[in-house]
Amino acid sequence: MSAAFDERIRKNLADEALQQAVYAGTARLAAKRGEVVADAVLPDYQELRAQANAVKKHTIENLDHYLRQFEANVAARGGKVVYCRDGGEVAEFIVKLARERGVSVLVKAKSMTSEEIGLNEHLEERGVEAVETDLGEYIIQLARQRPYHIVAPALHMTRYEVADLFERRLGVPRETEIERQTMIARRVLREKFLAAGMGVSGANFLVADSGAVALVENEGNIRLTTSAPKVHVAVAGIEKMIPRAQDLAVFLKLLGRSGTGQPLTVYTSFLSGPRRPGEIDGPDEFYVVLLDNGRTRLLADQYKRQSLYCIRCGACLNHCPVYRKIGGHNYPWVYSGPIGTVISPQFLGIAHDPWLPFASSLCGACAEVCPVKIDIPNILLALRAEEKKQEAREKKGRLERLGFRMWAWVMCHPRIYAFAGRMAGAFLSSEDGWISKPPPLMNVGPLAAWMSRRDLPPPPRRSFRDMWRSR
Amino acid sequence: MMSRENLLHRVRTALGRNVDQPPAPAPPPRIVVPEAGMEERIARMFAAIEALAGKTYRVPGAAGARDTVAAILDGRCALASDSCFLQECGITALPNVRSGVSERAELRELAATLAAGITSADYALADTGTLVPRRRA
Repeated sequence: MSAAFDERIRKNLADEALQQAVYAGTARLAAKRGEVVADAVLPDYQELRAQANAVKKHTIENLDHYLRQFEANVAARGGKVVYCRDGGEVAEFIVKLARERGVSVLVKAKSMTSEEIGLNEHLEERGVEAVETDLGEYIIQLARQRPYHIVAPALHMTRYEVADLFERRLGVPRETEIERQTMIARRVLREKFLAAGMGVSGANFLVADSGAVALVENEGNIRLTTSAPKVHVAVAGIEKMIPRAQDLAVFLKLLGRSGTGQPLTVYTSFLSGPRRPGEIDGPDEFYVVLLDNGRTRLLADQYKRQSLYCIRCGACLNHCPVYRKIGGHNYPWVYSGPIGTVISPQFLGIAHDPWLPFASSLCGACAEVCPVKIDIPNILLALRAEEKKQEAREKKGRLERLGFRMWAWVMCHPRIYAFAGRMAGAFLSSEDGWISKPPPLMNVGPLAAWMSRRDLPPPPRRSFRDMWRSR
Repeated sequence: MMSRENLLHRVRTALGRNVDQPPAPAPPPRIVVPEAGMEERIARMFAAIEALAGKTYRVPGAAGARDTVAAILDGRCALASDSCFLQECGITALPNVRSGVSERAELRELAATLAAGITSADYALADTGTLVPRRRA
């Protein structure tokens, strides 16, 4: 970890208002989830998780088949599927389409995939205005930040900060009541919906057997984004596929419950092609952009490919002691929390942020609440092992490896181990009952770094062996 | 732009699959419909809607539906969808209700300015209080 990163975390921990906002927000979501997955309410919750895991595993293992099936069904309904390697290609496609159709403003539905590829920034650079229409996303777009949380992007902001932001960016009187703030955003966004020539959404699920894009939301903005403009583009990672519409019976039950504690989100939409003869409204053109952006590389790993099962519910963030302390903006990429520590190194390459798989206590809460049963702690261990092998290949961490070799040698020699224990008991002592740094001559290198975040109990004056002998 | 064949080739290579290889059998779908009589379903539906501050009314027939809507509107103007069911109930014939709009621009203008909207539903889900309209609104 870099010094700058350390400093950011310290600042985060010292910010009591921020700690309170994140703790309260995540605790509320976690409690609501707990209520709706309880045995008394949803007795088959574990069966639903097992089914979701089995369906995702099957889909990923046969993904080429379902991609082709999905494409054929989208085309049969008058839509078009486009394949893109990365965010640059997605932006290139949307900008070209916007220029050809004379579109200068487009409205967007909340989408982590578009955050992943920095779509808004790409579009802005090329002169196309992209307006987020989910309230939380709109707030962070105005604040020029990235989402703090997968489900609740403005989780970290108080209503007073939003009041200042709206006053500064929208030129409206300072308003601290949340309902009134919502009405301000609604007024601004309604104008954008009517002016936009294109709508861009993500996809919660791509349904292969019907060629449908399934989207869930609570605000109604996705309905408007997908039906008001004349052109609609849905941008989705290839892993969003599920085989059958029937499978939604399982996934929709799990997604709302795990994410926001709702049995079902307020709006659930299924888009399957442009408007048809006899329909008055809806887009004239319908495109689905299927994105790779590192996913095919991840597919090649038989164990870690389960990371692609993720349905972006955010439950692992709400239950993670590390996320709840360090917050969403201290992770290096848009995906934060436990799922971020797993997918970021795999999408970006482990060399991008080699420390990331270590930013976990491995408590296992994430795996307990994951609705598709991704084994996050064990994937983290696999990533840690990869990082250590990489260090060895690059001849890094020599001191650490030497230390562990010496430790192994001592452990294999009982007399030397007993001697080392007696020495430690004699020389390592503490007045307050804890050792918080190594002895002066050893307070350097990896040992100093390791001890900077840990306190150890001092070794006992008499070892167990000594006590056993004199019993 | 990445070609379709390029992406499919990368996926197949990663998974060790051949061109046109059929998929392994999918896990059987899991759909569990809770056993409940019509009265219980209606009660659940109403409870779910009211839990979210919605209001529910149970009416004996078409005329009752029309009169209830008229009372809710209380003279305010509304836009109704093209549902046959709304026509059968006589709701689209209420004096302050517009329906049968076939122009996109006019429809948007009315939707943006009128006080209320009236729709029907193809299905109603008792467990969640969800209404399911099948056509694009």
